[in-house]
Amino acid sequence: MRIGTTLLFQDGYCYQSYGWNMLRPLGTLQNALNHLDKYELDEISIIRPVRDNDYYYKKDLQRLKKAKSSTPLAFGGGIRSLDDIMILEGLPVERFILSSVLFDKDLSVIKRLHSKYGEQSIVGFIPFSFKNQFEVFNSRKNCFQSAHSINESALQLCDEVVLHDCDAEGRNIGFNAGVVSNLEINSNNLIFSGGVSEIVRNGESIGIEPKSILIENKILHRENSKKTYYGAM
Amino acid sequence: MAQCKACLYTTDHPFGLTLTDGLCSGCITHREKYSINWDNKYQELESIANWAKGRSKSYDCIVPVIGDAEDYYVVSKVLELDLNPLIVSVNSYFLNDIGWANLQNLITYFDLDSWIHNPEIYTYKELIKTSLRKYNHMYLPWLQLHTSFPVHVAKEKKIPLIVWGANQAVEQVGKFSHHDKAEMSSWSRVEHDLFGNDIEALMGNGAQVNERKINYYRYPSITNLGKNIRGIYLSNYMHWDPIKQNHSTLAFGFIPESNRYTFDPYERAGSSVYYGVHDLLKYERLGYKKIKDHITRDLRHGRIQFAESEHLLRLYMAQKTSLFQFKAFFDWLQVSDSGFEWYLGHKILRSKELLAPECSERILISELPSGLQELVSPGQEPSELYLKFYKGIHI
Repeated sequence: MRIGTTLLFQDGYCYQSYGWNMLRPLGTLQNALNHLDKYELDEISIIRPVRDNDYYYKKDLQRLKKAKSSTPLAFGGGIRSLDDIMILEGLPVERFILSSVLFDKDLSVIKRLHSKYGEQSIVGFIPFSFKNQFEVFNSRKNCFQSAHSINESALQLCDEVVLHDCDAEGRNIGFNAGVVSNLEINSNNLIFSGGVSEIVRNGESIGIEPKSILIENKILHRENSKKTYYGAM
Repeated sequence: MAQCKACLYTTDHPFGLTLTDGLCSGCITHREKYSINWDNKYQELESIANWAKGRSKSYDCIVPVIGDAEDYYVVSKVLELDLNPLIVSVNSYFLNDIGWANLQNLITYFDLDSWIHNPEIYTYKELIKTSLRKYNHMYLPWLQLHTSFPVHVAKEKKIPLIVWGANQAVEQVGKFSHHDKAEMSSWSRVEHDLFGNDIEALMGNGAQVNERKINYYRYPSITNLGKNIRGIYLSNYMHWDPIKQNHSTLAFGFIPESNRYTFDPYERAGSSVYYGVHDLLKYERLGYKKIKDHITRDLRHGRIQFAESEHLLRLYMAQKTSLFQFKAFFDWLQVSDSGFEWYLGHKILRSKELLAPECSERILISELPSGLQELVSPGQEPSELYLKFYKGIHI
């Protein structure tokens, strides 16, 4: 199993999200990348949340283009149309994380990325919550909705899919593996995120073996070396 | 830039700050203190202490100190946990007689072994000069040492635990929840203690120093540190209330220092430069001084009302530093008079109005909000500044 982390990047600065409703500051992107490199992670997912009329989005992409990291990077946020793909040109990333387009009937964005960057370049991202009932978050509509609204054909075009537990986000434990049975999804290409750090550290089983774990920002909360996490596994 | 509706901090805080419904991440995190079961947290702390005990043949833990009131409090708590600590301090060469007396009394009162590292002075001064020129920051080289030397000692002597007091990034801006139990890390050191400027930033075209003499300015390799050495902050495990805690250390013989730039006579008492020079440069760089941190801290603890806070801030922000006091630091640094004039002309811009021929008078304790008065001591006046070393005890 691979071990990675997530960085939430906005307006030139990294943040940490807790419970899908509170942001805390984290620090500069480059300092975070420098240290995550030292921790020898398998991957870093940089997420840039995008709002309507987000004037700073392009500026953040410019900043990201200058970022230096020897760890494989994935980038997600704002990739919703064919035009959006154009401005991703030159990003120092290996993979793209898609969320909104998983709800679209039109698969042209995914297919374009597929043909341009290869099959392994596409990672789906599904934030979910069990707070009321099982729901998934549609970032384009900025609301939770039924999981049936996800386009299964879109999911099939993803090399891997991140299942992000919004309820356990920012916590050390609490990832709800019940998500897998609630989504009709291939369980061989999953990445778990949100409330997983202590589970990994303690070597506990979630029931399903994912291909990778994203430990949010928790990697930076302690002096972890690769051995600290891998040693627990 | 936006201000929190409950404190004085704004979103341009150097640690970063977020607002949720107008309330800042620092205030939200502070409010956790009233819902946390601190007995449970203390049990977690005891578990860590038990993990550390006996892992080393020498000491159970290191407590990095500067001789501050907080150090007295931390040491007292470490001893309550039945740990056998080694006191480690890096000489800044900035202590006055009060600072040295406090440091030596800490060691003798609690009867502990200590290791005081005296950095090679030529290199140290060169690095300070470069830090001033590049970043208008006089403390960077010392902070680099203070945050890395204890880790070197821990690694060399195989001591498993380093115990720090407050995690300022949590206490000030709520960068993490108390429940995260964020620990010492190389990332946090660069991000919070060094503001992104590790020793490499002072090398190259900066200081003319020998690479071989800066080993302790560099953080050790992080390989295995996470498993074998942990650095924890007590503020994650206790209801942290600095001024109340610091006041309690008077019982251990801690000497507070009279201060005209803040009402807090405990934090950084005994420094020849912290408030008169460093704090002025902080205002130059960031637009605010330490007093804002102190007011916000005690505003959150309910000792200052929001309506009083702005007035108190204005009162202290207007306090003048004497040009003589400011120049004394540059004399210590062996900067020529023309070099000092250049610095004043090029690096001191917005704080120029805060430099005057004479220091301002002290603000009386009776002028402070009533909630603070009982915890503020008058403090003593130093008699000697910039002492390289001083036993500070009279036999």
